[in-house]
Amino acid sequence: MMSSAELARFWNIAGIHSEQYVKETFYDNGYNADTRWYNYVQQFNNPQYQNDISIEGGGQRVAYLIGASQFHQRGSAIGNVYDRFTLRSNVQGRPKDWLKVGMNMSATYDKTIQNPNWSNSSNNRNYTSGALSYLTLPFYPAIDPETGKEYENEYPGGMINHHTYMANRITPTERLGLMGTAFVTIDFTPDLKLSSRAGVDGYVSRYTGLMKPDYYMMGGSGWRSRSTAYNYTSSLTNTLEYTFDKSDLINFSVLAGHEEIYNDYDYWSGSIENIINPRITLISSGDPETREIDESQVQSAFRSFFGHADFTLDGRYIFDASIRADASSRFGAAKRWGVFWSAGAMWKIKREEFLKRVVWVNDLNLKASYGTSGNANIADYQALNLLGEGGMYNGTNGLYFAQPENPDLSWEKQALLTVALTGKVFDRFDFDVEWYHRKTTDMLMSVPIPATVGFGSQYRNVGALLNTGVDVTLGYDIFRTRESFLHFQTTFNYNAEKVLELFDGRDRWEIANTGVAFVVGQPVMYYDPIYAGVDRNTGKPTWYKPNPDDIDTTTKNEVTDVFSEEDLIQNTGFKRHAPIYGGFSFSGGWKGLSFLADFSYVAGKYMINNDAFFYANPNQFADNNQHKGVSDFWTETNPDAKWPDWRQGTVMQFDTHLIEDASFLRLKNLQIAYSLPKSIMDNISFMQDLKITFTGRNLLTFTKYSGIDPEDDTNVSLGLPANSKQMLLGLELTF
Amino acid sequence: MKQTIKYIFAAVAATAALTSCNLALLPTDAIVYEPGGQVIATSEDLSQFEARIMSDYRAVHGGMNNILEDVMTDGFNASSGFGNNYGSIHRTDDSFSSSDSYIEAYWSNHYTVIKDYNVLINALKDKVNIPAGTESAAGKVKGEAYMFRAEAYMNLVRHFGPNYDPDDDKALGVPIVLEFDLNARPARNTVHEVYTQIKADLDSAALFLADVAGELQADYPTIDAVNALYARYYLDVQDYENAAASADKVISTRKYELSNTAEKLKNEFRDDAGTEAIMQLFGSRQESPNATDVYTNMFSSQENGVCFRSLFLPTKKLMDSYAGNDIRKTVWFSTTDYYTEVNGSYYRGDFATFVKYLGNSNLYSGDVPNGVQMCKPFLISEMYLIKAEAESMQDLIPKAKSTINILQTARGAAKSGGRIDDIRNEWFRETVGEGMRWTCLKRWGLGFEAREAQAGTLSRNAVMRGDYYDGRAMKADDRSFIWPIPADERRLNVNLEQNPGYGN
Repeated sequence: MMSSAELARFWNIAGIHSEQYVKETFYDNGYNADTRWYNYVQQFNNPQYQNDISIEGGGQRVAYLIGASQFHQRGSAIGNVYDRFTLRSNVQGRPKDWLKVGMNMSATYDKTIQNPNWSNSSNNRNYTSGALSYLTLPFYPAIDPETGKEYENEYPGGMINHHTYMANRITPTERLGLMGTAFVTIDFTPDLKLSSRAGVDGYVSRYTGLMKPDYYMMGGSGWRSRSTAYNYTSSLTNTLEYTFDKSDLINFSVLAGHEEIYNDYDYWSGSIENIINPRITLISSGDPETREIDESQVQSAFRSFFGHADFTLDGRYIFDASIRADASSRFGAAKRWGVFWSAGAMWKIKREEFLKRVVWVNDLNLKASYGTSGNANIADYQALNLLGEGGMYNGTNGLYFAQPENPDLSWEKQALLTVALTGKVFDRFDFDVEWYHRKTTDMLMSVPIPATVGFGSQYRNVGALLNTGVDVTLGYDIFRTRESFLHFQTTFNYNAEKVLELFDGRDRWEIANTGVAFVVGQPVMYYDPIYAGVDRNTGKPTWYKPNPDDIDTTTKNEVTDVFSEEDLIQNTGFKRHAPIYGGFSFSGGWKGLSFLADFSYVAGKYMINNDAFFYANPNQFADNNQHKGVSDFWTETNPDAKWPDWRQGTVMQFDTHLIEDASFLRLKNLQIAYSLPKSIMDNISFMQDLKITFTGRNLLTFTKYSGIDPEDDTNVSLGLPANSKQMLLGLELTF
Repeated sequence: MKQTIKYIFAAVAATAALTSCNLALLPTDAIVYEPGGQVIATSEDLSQFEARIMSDYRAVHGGMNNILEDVMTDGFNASSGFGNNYGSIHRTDDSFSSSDSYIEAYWSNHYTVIKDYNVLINALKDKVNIPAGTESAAGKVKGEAYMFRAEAYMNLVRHFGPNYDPDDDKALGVPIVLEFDLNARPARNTVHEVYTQIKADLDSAALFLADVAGELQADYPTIDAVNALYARYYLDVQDYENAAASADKVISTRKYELSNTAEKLKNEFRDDAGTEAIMQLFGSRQESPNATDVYTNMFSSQENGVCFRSLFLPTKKLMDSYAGNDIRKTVWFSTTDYYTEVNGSYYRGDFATFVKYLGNSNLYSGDVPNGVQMCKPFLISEMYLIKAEAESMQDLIPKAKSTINILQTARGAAKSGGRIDDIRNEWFRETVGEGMRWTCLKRWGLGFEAREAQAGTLSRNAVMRGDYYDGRAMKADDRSFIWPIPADERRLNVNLEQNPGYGN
């Protein structure tokens, strides 16, 4: 971003604001600072603590594990804090030879405080109070000359001091989670057993929101809101399994089972305004006329019956098959049940006679499988025809046609075919190569409906998507001795995506305000006007006209300087989802010292850098700081400039100039650890092991992307840091 | 023994397996009903359905619904700190496109409420479907829905179609949707067809609301409100005789009086306790009407207390349009009451701020006015303007003069003649901020020459400058006098033709 002097100079030569304007508006009012706003609004050094303790023990018939852990993290936004405490215990017992019982319990408490005034860029408006603070003009000082400290409540220019704000804005969400499972296994005979497992996973959460009345902005009137959510999932699974493993030639097992899952979510909230005394700020303290309450409840249930069988012949040929019938309460009454199945085979080639003697082949397997599965991941009650409440008038709650029915709503289906070859050769090189073909049909999508119908969208089973690709994992031991080793590992995924079918028989759907389109026969693509650069002769921005017959096939034949989103939108050639993901790592050790360096990369990734719409658009955002690069704009003497002639009042548009190559290579994880040598530990009688660790996350990134974080998996990046650099020092003690 | 225990365990497990849960789960916050079945089954349903359409009606008034027309035209300049709020609308440059989110919202908000009106009208269409004992209440509610639907279609056709032209029965308006149909992909009806539908709905409303007498600040529709809407309708379709007659029907009830002192005018808007509202929709802090806050955008500052941070400031033309003693100028504009924050500095007394919608203190907490006022869909002043315009258009100049003079006298303004330009100027002064300016200019076939800013805003660098800001001139044939059909809607419904100037 520009400094004060750079911005004033740029404004003047670009014809945006004259020197006199800057003098009158800023300098004459005492605003002649050169403030780097992110230094005041972002926190860059954020300590993080974690403690874990666990104890295991038991005897012949009972085993137990108890543990506790604690975690604390501060975020880069002022006021953001996360705390978590976890307790867990596992007990297993075998009171009879034929009876096994056990119970696992864990309890978690966590508390999240998130600065709610920490906004970003959305659509065509910006809010500079949070992560986009760097857009604030540098002329304004952050330090009050009268006190020599930061302005207490708000800085000149109107940005609030977040430290004071968060001291007056109480906003914790606390959550108490309880998870437990209990199981019983009865062995009727050594080969036949019945297992029954019951589980509960639930939480109670509460939110407290308070804006204190004496905060300078509130005019003596605070508000408070509270909410509580209660949620649990209970499940019960019964299985009966028969195993036959007495023969060398043939082994098999068959299993039949049944499962019930029930989820209950219950929420209420209340709020009030006009709390006047900062010392008592309960919901009962405010003005009853401003009370608002809300309640909602949702339940869902799933039922499944399933069977599984596997069969091994001679330890070389393994076959397995399964079938399951699943029902969900979310679907239409006649469409609740879905039947899914799978079958697979594996050939352990190494065990064949012809390979047994090939010493350099340590292991070699060929696998193939095909299976179908279902997905019910949508909100509840979407199939029903509903009258809902909403819209109050004169104290009476409104009733209206809230949802049209879709009795055909049913399971989304996925069919997956995989073929894989795995193995190890020369004692040091292992590999896993898998090809897959994954077809998703009857996709559960919120299908947009014309506004004239009166509803925005409806969940339907529409469309089909095909993903095919390869997954490769390779490992290589560079060397391995008694005292040291060095290992290299790499993973690679190539995925080809193809839309096979859309809703309403259409062959293209551009999703509003996302720049993304689904087009039959193509991967999910970015569709936008294509920026063609600056006209050398006029200094105006230009765009490629779409192929008049077919906007899906980009020709870039003709250019125009008239912008119209609807006329210019076309296939940009950029894929929404990157086709190549991968990573590689080196791990090694020498005596007590060990390290792991883990890199990951994504290639062919593109993102819309929405923030650039603001920081490189000096006419439209004439009261925001700008990126230094915009100084390179068209003039008669600089016809090859990157940016158009600002002096003509040019504004930048939402087009491909915002789509950037966000491919990257990143050092995700670097770990270095040192364990004290045994010779020293032997002298410390009460301790077995002492280990010092250093962990660094996201320490190095290589990318062409100019926005904040290339790793963000989104179509439009909106000024929020996603993956921050982290450094951790650790101490691990074993007693 | 061992075997027995084993089987008891097995039996317990088997029992647990059979206690399965119900898969036919129903929501607790909604009523499930068979499509095609009786929608409104009880008198409680009926009063709740009425509450919904009333709330719908309130949702499409005030706030954005008013702001769009005023910031698009010649009464307001964007302030230097307006942060691109309503930017595309204000500039109406290339960024004012068929993908504009404000236009999209205006379109879809109206069709969403029309869906509710339609469901209600159709649910009560047949006598057999009206819950016993509620016949008269049902008739009234149906009348309300007809009136709301007429107004919703009038708003749509005014914005998305050209002016009504008696000789052009081909010009495209908006699709008429009268029944819920999930699979309908309607084409645009002609402007004539839409106005015919509006008339039919108005006639139905008049029939069902005939006995609902008007009263000051009625919070439900009355026959006077229906007549006020008739007046708008007849003005649009250039039936000036009926326009004047409809407006006069409301005026001659003498239930609504023009405020003729600064105090009364202040009560009318600031406190929502005036004498001019033919309808004034219920509002409270829980049921907050839409905020019209862009003109004031107040906040509490550290040094100067409650201040303006206006996003839009009145133009020189607007300020100059008022004569010295005009009470509207003193009540609706403020120069010295509060400081205004501009570019980090605070000024008072340099320029005027528009405060007609400062905020009713009963509708906000604390001491920072928030621009929330009760919605007044129809004011008696508009009836004088419609009557005067209709008279003037019939060349009844003396009549028009006497009608407009009543309004001018009440406001302490200079009395004008009854020529059409006089009436038009009075519309500008009187209805500022009410979301009528663009419709008026369009009806008159007029544009505007630039938006010269108040001198004080220029010297304080308080407004955006440039060809599309203070320099924006709009000719009468500017494409933005007909809004684009939202691009998204056209992608979903290929039967919708786009308006000229917005692409294919």
